[in-house]
Amino acid sequence: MPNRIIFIFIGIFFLLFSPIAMGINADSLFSAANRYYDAKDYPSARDAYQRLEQYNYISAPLYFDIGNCYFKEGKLGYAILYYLRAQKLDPTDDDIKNNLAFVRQFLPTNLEGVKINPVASFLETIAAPFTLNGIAWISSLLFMALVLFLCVIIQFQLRGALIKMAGYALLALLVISSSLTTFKYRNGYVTQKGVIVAPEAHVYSGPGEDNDLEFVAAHGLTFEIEKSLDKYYLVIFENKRKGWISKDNVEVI
Amino acid sequence: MRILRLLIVLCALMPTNILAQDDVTIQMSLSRDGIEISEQAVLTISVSGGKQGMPSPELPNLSMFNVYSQGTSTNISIVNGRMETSYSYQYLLQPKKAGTFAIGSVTIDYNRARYKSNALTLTVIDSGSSQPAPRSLKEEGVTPTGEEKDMFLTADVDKKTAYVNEQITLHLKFYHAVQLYSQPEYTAPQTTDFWTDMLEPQKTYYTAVNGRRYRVIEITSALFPTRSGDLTIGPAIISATIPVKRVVNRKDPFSLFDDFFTQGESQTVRSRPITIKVLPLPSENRPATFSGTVGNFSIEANPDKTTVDMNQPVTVTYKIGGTGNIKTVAEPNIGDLMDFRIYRASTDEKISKLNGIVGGTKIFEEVYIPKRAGRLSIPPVKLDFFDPGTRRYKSISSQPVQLDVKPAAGGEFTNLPLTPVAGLVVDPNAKDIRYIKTEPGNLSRHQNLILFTPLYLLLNGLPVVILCVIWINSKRRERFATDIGYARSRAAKKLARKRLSVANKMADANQGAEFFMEIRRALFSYVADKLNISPHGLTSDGVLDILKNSGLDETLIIKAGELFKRADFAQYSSVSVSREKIRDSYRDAEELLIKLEEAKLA
Repeated sequence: MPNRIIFIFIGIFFLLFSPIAMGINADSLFSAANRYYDAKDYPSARDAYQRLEQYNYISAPLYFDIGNCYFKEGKLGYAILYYLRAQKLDPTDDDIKNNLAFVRQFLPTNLEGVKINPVASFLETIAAPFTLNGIAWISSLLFMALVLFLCVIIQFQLRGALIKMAGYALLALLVISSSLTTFKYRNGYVTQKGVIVAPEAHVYSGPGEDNDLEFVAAHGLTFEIEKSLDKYYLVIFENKRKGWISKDNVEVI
Repeated sequence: MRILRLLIVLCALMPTNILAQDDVTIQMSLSRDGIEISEQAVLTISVSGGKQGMPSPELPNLSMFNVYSQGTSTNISIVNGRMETSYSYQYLLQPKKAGTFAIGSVTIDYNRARYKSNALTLTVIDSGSSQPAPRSLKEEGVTPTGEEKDMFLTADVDKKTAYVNEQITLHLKFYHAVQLYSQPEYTAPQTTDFWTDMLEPQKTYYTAVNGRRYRVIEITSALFPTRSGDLTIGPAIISATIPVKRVVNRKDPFSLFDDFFTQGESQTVRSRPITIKVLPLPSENRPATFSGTVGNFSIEANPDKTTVDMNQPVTVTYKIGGTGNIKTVAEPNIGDLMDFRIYRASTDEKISKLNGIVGGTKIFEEVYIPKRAGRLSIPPVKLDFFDPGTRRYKSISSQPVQLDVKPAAGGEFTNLPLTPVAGLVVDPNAKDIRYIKTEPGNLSRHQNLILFTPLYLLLNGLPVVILCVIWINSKRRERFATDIGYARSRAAKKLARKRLSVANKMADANQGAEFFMEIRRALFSYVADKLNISPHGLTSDGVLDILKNSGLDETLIIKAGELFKRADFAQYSSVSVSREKIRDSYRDAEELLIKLEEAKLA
């Protein structure tokens, strides 16, 4: 019985505070946020955009605009976080790429010793224009094409060099697209990535302030999360330097 | 005289029930004459001959019992135009002490008259107040007066003496020989000084006690005493409603239906309390680091990696497993190590109940962060416990963990405020970020990944299925083309059916000789095709030999022989065969073909 009452209350709460019940239309809220932005009231604009985010709405333009607001407010770490979130949804968008590069100019910390993995870099360049869903569909279509091709060959006993070449070409394309799909999935969804959003973050040799301070990292730096322990993440930066960082200072992309 | 006559007439006109004297009778009865102190008796007071509005009976002194009213039932009957009401009052008597108690008469004051019931005696026996002598199941199943119990509850333990934290298994068995009208209400025994865990879901089975069939519901629990001394497992209590015992009136044809209308009576049964002698853990040879773990355990240590960079974590999982109260297994004492910083990562506990013995595993994860490079060793972790099986303390250790720690690698961080970062391409004319997007785009509630969705998996799986079908079909075709024996064997049935169909047409046309020729051809060619031999050299005897060798049923072979003889007769004699015989032969041929297909000739 008490459970039923709790559910009823939760239902009423959601009904009352859902955007529909509050008479909030997502598009009108977005337009209102745009007007705040035009009026240079960036905190109000961001607040309006983020209300949509609170209602679990996501889109690349929404994240892009929140990133812009943060930049205008001087919060570079958060600006980079939202541009990266936007880029995850729409990797081809030129505005996102440009603003991300632009904001990174103003970061106070530069990483040295970054060794670029040529294979990963190559795959990243090829996969960059595609979303994960896009590349997954391409792989799927290529797979279906190859299987149907094999069906036709078997059914009609087709032979010949041209047929063989076409088969190999399809197979090669499938291998490439599947590799890119796997790479994209691992890079974007399996591996957790984060951004330092606090003005500066202490990186320790262990999960706690009683450990040795390894270095101080500034906002905007991105990293991969290797482990989570209580209130700390073990992170690895692009230059392969590892350390423990408080979860309060970072946000997961 | 005239007045007297008038009075007589008036009396004759008065309703009979006003004139009639009330014939009220009160009968008092007990469900049982003798009970144990843990049991209850039902007192029934039946009042008959009264009318509606009659007062309730006044109960006698029942101070030696807790009395609970079970309700009243009323029965109204009209006999010879006279309405009679009878009442039945039921009370549950729960004795407070043992002894023989007189239950005095019940009285009712009604219509200026006092009506009295009979008096009763109830004997209450105290058999469970002190440590009871173990009783056999036969004894449990009967009352002190020798009556068979409809339901009773027993409690048994596997040992009466145990060490602190040693497992004691308690079996509670609820026996009932009658149908239960309500779900039994179970009150678990009081086990204040024990840690209790249900061992397995309740079991239900049937058994015979004193020649009577009882349904048994068994609950098994593991108890771990938490302190030494004489500890008592209190009585378990079960209450249920069971049918009222009554004498069947053989003359009443409707007594069969009594069970449908009776509401039953509530009965409560208790198990006897059990006293366990709990011994303290011996102080002799007790290890200094002993923390109270009792059972039989093993310990192992597994690092997630053995090669690691300095200042990088290594998680070592300590797994302690065995039998005993796993909850009492304390965290291993690791202490401080010079070469490592140590952090507790997590603790996990899994309790197992195999064959009625509680055990399980406890997993401790410790994160070690090496402070220096080199070949470092994490020393073994010790676990002390008391093994009640051998009555001795045991100390076991995990194996040491060897780590190859490499010097820290990586670049340096330098603070370069407001300097451009190499590799970033920014529009050289850019002085500001690009303007916001004025359209919200495709606002969705969450990002749907198409990977692993059923649609995606189906779309990718379906072509594979099609490919498999086409491949199998192609292989089949290929074999048809290259393997004549296979092709003949596969086509044999179809060809034989076709020939039988032709034979059927001939049967319709009453062409006996042609019919039998076609039948023979169908069967002979079937056998030949199946065995990939020529049908031309085949004789009836040859085919019968093949059928015998293929393990076909003897009666079927005889039938086949007869069929072949009939065919020979029809073909080589001038006598015509009857239509009926032709039909029979056709059926025999069909049956033979089916059986041959099942026998798989080879």
